[in-house]
Amino acid sequence: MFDEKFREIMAKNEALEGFRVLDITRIIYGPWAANLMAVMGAEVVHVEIPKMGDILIRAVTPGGVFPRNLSPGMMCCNSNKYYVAIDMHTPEGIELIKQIAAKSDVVMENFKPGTFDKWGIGYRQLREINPGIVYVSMQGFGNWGPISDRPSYDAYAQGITGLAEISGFPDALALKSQAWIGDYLSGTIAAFLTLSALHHREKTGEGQFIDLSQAEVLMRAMDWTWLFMGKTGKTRKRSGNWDMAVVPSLIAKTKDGYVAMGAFPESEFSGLCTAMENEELKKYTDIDLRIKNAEFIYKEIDKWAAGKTNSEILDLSRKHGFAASPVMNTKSIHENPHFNQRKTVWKFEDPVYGDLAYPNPWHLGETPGRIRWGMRPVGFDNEHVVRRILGLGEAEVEQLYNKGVLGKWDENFPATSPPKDWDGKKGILY
Amino acid sequence: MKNWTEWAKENTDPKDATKKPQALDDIKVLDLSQGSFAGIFASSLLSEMGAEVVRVEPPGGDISREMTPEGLKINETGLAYLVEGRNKYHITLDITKDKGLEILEDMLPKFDILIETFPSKYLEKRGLDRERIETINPWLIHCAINNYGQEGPMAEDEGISETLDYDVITQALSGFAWTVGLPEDYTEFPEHSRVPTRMGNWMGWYAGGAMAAFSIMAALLNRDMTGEGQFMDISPAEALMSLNNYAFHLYHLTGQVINRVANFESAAYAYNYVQAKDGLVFLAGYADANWKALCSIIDRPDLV
Repeated sequence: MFDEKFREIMAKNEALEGFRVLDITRIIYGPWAANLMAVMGAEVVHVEIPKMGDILIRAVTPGGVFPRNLSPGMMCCNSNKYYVAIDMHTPEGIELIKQIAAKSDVVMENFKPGTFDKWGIGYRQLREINPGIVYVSMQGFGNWGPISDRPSYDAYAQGITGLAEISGFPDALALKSQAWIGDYLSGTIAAFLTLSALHHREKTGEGQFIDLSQAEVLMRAMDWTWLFMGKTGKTRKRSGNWDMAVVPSLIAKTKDGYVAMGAFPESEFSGLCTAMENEELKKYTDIDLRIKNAEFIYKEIDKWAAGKTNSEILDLSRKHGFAASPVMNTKSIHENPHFNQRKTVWKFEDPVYGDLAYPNPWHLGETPGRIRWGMRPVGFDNEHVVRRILGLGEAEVEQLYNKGVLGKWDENFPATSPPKDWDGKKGILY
Repeated sequence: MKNWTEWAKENTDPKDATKKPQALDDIKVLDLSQGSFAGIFASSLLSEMGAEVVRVEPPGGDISREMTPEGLKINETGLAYLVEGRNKYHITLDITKDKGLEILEDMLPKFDILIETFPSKYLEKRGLDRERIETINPWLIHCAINNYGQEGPMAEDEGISETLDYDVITQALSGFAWTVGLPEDYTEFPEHSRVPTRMGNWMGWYAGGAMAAFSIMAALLNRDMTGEGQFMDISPAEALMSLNNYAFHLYHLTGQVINRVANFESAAYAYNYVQAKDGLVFLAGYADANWKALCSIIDRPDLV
């Protein structure tokens, strides 16, 4: 597991070393944005409430089981963070938030618009304490506008933007993705915008407020949809596994599985025709002609693919120079030598939970991203945050615990707690 | 103090955008993407934040201009490129010719960021390998974007990697498409629709472009501090893989593969689309309080 390449990556610098992020986000969208900062080396302080923590995501697991007390929902978007549990409904809790904000470069939150302003920890108050702060408010529909007060979920965003409406087969159902892409893509954009704002701050010394809408990010990612509607007055129809703008590029069912294929340049298309031994199709070498006759071409390819195995098609794609890939799943990815050699399959030893694996797409040559730990029990790094970062004394901290301002996990809820065999020490930083 | 909504509107209304400075107005980007909207979207994001982006296309234009529904074009350019060509300066340059390559090399020192989507060894074969690029411009952030990446068995296998870099390949190779679609037992729907399904938009390209732009910005902030550029190897398939919930983490833990669940959620209920009289509608009531409310609305207290 810890081969040379792993050690080489761990020994390199991290791009965002020295930046601190105060992450008061919930569920996925906000946590993922802050997670991206953390995989690049920022010190991310993730705030939850004592005992239950962010229970709406900690409780998320298929089948209701929590192996080793891990929560699949929590672990997938909260790695490398420092976990503190603060009751923000107390004045002392708000005071702690202000103190951390004063020492941070970025604040990320995804509470309903205006909540933090009301609590005295919104952008208007925090910039008084810390004028350089970059404050990112991640909302379903933004901080203002007719529907800005609506709560959002990924599936809501996929529905209201029309993304689901253009996905799936025309003669079946509109489809959302199983993955919470409305959260993940928007979180990724949030992290990009945050870094842009930090670059601006490097030049000017000024922080700023960022208002990001999840629905707007999905709309932005719907390629030619809006221009098509504007130009033709028609809505965009679903086209199943056929891409109607890049003909052919599709997913086809084979004898023993599913294969994605692409053959858009003339050379690739004629390679595909040769592989299919289909002279008729060669008439459609011209791209425009192909797009206009997409349905016929796709039917021909589907028919052909149905009589081949995955490996026959992959062999032919190599021989004749068109693109093809099996539809992979997590098992085939996990076992794939390519993704393992690249350390995209990132296997590591979590200090609290033991051996884990995460996807790692952050191959930066000099400052590669990495996962140091997966998730933490609620309040696991309280001491690191209030003693090391804030410099509070032992007595003060004890008082905060006694008042319930600071807290840790609840043993009754496995997904908030360390694994049963935890020795009381492993992973503790302070 | 003004109420929050008013303040937020006053301070973030896009109608005032042109009066404000742009975060990346000191950054110059050279985008050599060919036929991949992952690269083109990455440079769009940078341009939207104010970077000066120069698109380099082969004479006659990049093949991405041909990607368009119904063959619709405006002045010979397809709709998709009209969307993502935004804010950019466009030049043509034939880098398959020595003189073209020489001009490219002359341009490199003037840029902060280079984006390209070629097969892994393409530039190297033309004599422009990473070391040479680094010598020409040591502070350059060179972002190579390709599904198979720049290293590893599949990147080095020319039979696999030397084609255009398609969105549909991203969606398949990432394992994403495996988890989208109607399960086999949804027999009320036609058989051909009960298969792993691509997202209708170019989700693979958009995920790849977003992850590339984020990674570029991380490298840029690092350069702000160290003065050093770097090379990065970004795969849209790997980017989309990292946006697929806990599918991967869970497999390693338990051996369970996440499969298609139509419009349901594998780990929470109610959280799904339901068929109403006139269309699909989303319902979420998986937190205890919301579930109780939902049961009360549908008048089924027994389900609480």
